[in-house]
Amino acid sequence: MKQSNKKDALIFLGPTFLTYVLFLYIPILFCFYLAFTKYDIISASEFVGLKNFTRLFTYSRTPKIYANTLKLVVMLVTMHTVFGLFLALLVRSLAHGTQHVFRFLYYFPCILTTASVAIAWRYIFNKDLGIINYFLSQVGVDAIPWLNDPFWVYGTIAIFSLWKFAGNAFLYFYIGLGNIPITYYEAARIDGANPFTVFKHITFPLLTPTIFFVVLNLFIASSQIFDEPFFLTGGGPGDATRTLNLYIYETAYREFNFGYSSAIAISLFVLLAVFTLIQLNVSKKWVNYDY
Amino acid sequence: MIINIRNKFSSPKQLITFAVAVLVGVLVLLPLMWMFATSLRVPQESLRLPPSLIPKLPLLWSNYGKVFTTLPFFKFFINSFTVAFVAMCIQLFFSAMAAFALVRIPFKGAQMVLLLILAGMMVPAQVTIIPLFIMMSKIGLYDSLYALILPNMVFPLAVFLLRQFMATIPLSYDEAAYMDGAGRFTIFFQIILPMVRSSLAVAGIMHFLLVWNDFFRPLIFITSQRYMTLPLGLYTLNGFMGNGSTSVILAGVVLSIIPPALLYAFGQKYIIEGTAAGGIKG
Repeated sequence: MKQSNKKDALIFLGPTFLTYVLFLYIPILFCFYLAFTKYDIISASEFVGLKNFTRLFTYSRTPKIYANTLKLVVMLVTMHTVFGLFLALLVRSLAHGTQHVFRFLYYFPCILTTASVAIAWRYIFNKDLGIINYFLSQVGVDAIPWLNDPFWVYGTIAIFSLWKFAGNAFLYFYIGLGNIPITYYEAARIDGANPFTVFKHITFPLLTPTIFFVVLNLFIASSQIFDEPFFLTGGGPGDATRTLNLYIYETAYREFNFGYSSAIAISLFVLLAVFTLIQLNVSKKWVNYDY
Repeated sequence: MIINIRNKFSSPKQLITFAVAVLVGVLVLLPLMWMFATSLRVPQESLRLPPSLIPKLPLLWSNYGKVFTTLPFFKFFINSFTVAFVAMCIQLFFSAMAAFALVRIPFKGAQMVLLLILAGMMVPAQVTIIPLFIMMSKIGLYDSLYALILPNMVFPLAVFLLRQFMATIPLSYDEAAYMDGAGRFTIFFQIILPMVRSSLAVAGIMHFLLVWNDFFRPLIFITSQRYMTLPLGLYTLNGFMGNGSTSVILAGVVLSIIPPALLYAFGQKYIIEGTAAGGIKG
């Protein structure tokens, strides 16, 4: 039996093992290797030591690209968390029958194809023909250059990102709120606590695991942000919205500089891992898991 | 009328919350309404102001016909479906087998194997895409549907979901079947798989949506129009065509989001469950 256990486990894990080795583990190792080479897919790869990394840290464009990514991470993590929590509290305070309708509606954009709806949103943001500026003009606001002004492009990305993905944070918070035992609220009601006290002393502390999870997930997703700048701004104007992932894409598939591109990918990977570990550690101080 | 509203909302506060909720709902729907209304306009006037949010007569359903005649929409659709469906089926089968091994076959190192699989969720797509691109080019699969199907067989969430559900089935089922002379494969196919149907649906729908909506991998792996999936195809064609055919492109956009919308309408329960379960992993 023991003999066959080992054999059976191998047989059942075999296909997954094989696909993960081929399409996940080997590519990861390969990426680390490429980061130390100069490679353009046509000629043989050439070992260059740390040259890609020194270029990364000394090239005049890179600080801006890291800063853009950080700016977007801070902006999007904050906005999605606050807005998602707001929507969840809003829907939870509605009559029971209507909650499902709004949950369905608010999560709906999340399942839509980003590339498809982004095509439409580019027209919506159009300076002269877009509907946002049309409605603004009706109330006397001048046309806003949504797609080519270094300041407004961040608003553009924020609006699109919230419309498309706020449903995710909303859904996690909605589920999280539903897991808070109702008895706490009943006790508070009997004690005559006002809504702010209830939020501060019951909802918030008991929601901290969900908040942490949402923040961490948003952090991981937004530090890899690609779709929004790619579809809406193309990284511009200039380098205004060029993010790390967009830069990786461009160095690899427009300049065919796979070594350098891999080095940037590795830097993102390492930064992500370090920040995630820090957050996991800091979380022990404020996340409340016992209830 | 006023009395009716009073009956429905016990306090003015509840009326306000309801109104705010409706307002947000309208903001969610507005872009979609514009998309749909514009897709029915005369192509040359697609973007003429004022914009339409509610379809105006005459409704040009012919734009939807043009999607099929002037764009290779059907081809894109078939490609998207083939990639998402084939990847989903193979992936589910492999993941179910792995989950079965992890909880129903006692062996040393199961915990380690699980960690290795789940670690896949943490790896940014950008880290693996360059090596995969080079690998696919070298083995001649670049610019083919295989390049999209093969890497998509890695979907750690499925192993996680199926493992979790299989762990709740009492081991006595396996033991009883074993006594009756059933082998591991019989137990897997005839006892365990039928019992985890709903988890298979959750993992399947999540994966299908992910692959259907994916833009990044097709962008890297596909250059010929005949192998393009819907998101990439529409994006590329939108770049080629002028503003004079915007409504045709938007008709394509509307059609392309129908499959995920239908999946959502009928499988909402599974999608919510999948999202919620993804939340446990943190």
